[in-house]
Amino acid sequence: MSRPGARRRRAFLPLIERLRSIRSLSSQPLAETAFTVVDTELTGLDPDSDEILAIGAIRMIGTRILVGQTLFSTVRPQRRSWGTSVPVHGIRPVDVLHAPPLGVVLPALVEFCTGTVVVGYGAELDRRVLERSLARLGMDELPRLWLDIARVERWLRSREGQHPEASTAEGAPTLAGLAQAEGIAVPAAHHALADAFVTAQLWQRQLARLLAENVTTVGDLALIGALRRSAGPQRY
Amino acid sequence: MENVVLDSVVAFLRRVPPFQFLPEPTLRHVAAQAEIHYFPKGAMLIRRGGSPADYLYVIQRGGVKKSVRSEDGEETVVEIAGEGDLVGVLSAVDHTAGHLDDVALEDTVCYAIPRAVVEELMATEPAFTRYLLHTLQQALDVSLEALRQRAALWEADGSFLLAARCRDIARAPVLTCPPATSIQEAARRMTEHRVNSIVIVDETGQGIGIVTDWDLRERVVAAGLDYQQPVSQIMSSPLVTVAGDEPVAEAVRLMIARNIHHLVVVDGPRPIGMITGYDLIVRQGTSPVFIAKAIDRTVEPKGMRALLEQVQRQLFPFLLARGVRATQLGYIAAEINDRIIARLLALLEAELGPPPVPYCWLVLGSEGRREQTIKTDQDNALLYADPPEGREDAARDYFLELGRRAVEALVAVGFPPCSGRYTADNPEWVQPLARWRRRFEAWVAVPEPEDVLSSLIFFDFRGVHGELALAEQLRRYITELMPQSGLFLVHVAGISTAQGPPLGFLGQFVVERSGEHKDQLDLKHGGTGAIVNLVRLFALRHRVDETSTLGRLERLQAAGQIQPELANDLAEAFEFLLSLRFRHQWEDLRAGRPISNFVDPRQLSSLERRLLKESFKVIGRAQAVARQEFSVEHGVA
Repeated sequence: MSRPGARRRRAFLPLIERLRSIRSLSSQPLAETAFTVVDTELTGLDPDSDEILAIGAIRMIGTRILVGQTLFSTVRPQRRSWGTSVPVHGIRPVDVLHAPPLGVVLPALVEFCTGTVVVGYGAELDRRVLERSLARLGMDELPRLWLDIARVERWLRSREGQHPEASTAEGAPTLAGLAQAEGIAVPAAHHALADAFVTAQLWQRQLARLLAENVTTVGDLALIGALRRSAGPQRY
Repeated sequence: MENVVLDSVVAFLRRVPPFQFLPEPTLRHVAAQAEIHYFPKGAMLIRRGGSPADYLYVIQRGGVKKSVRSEDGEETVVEIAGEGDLVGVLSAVDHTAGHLDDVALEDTVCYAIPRAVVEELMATEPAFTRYLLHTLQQALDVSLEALRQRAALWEADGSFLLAARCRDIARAPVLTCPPATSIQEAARRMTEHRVNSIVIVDETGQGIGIVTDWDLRERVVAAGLDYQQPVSQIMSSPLVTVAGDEPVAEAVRLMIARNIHHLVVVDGPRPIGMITGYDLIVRQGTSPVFIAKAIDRTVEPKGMRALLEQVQRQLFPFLLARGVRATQLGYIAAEINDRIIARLLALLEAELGPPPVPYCWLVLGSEGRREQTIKTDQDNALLYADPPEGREDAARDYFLELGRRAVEALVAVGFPPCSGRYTADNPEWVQPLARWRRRFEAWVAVPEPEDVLSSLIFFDFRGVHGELALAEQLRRYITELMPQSGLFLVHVAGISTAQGPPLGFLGQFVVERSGEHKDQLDLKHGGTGAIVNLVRLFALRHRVDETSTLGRLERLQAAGQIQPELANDLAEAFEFLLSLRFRHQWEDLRAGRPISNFVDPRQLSSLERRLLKESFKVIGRAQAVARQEFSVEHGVA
């Protein structure tokens, strides 16, 4: 399912095809849509080979962030060392020695995400890692609609007359950079739940801006190119 | 388990009242049910008059402007709320329509606490509840004060007045006469009624012309016209009229356009009132000043009755709606009633001849305390200077007659007689100073248990007409009596604490079990009356000669004779209970029901029910203090 060919082919599908596949959701108002904002911490930077060390997720309904509806767990990976990424997220092998394995954590996440649009910053990476992990566990129920708020940010900036080139000249905005610009406190950088929380707050503000730009339904999100459909059987 | 999201919310709420009063586990429980809402600059959190808020908002970041807008679109900012401040307290707690417009001044993030959670906390966390209720009262006061100030501005520039209806400000009734009336007769009637115009009506009652002072001078006297000519000869016709439902602005426009000073207000063809240029100048809205002037102009009880009705049906609701406190309303009502009494007595003195010795009309009970509500029974007495020897009987006869006629006139004006006959038509309460002194001395020094209760209203007396120095002399005497009042005060304390507030063991209301007021609460007996009794008790003991309840509390507090917190709570409870009584009486009056002091707690809003319970609890606390101070056994009178 993670075959590169399949993904490439889907990318070439005409827009109308993509829209049709999410028809049932396309007219749903964003203000009433349930979202799961997720973030993962990995043993490294390669979504095709690195493993998940921590998962954080928080629920939103429209622009409302539900403080009590969160999910967080560290994960015990199969490999025993990932020295290079420790400075990023601070998770050492000893920290996850007694953490539950992915086979326990992932079903909980899948259940938490059921019926929601999954939101992430650079969500493509999280999606690929999760798809691969699910495939490895023999599960094929990965969430279906993925929203990348980095793409939303690019669209909003171009829409609001900021040149995307100008922002990319200093490199793509990072999650921490966006949060700082918005005055959002970052409780703990590169902590999966903290990052998911920051992402949720960014998405909350973006959504307010999108609604002002008349982007009001899930279908509209697909039109601006921020929405991706996951591989695997569709639950919608 | 580690949860950075929940922790960050808890850490914030822990610093913010009233959440800081919650124990940690409760706080976490609250945070877990909270939501985070985002309002871009200019977004509205709650709209005034809009549907009730589903959340209580705590501003985490940003700012919110709370404001009201008057009918003419003028905005009054009531408060700028910043980080840690609450938004939507009234709406969320009471589930009422938005009270103010709450608009984000900048991009604003709020922790939104669902209403169900707030309600749960109010049921289980007393400190949380007390804070919220206090905030509410303040919020109400502040926003009403803002409205009131705005109303004052409207009046100053005339715009508010101009928006009122003509029928609301018209002077009624209109003096009328048929066209055949002689000029002299018309002038005589104008003089008699102290008005400067008369409307000429045909046989169907339709107004056909008007004669004013100006017409009499210019068209009769200056022109040397025969006074016996019919008035129709000199009337201005056709009559310029304005419909009662037109705004006053239209009346002003007509007066300017036609260059007239008198405008007849009609209901169909029938004249129902008169607006004069003078009225528009003197009168600002429904001004107490105007009513006072009108009382002084009145020559018969009938006219005063109409004025009193106007006061009760227009002035009081007008003032209540503008946020005037119930106690202030009591003062205004007292001013008006005092003036009516004074005017009636002046008219009676003219009838009976001058009084043989100076006297002073005393009002008792709630009138004496300036706390009467819409319609209060008369409670009054007459005090006169000790007459010279040999003149006692003559003086007594005069004052008995004056008292009798005055009470009768007051009944005619609309003050119901007192069921207990504590009125100046009862010879017992018409006495010279020396006998009043002896009466009070007997009450205080050798108290008969059965007399103590009925004597209490006399201790709240206040002089309103005549030789006020007499009332002051009597007051000084009572203050001097107090050192020998130990036993009397114990009796008073027993009466004041005999019955606890109508709250059950579990804090539920204890309502009437049967009768006309089944399932209702007596706001007077268990509420305002209980506070009045307790405060009077403390005031007598500490020789405070003030009569109003709030005034007594102030003086007691200044003298350090009462715990400041208890004094404040009592004052607030009294204000709340009195305003509730006022409002319900006004509703009774409007609905044409007999006016009562009873309310059905189920018909109150949840906020009012809570404030009511808080008020009753304050009464309970004050009673406990009184029992302790006067060593009264619980429940023994």
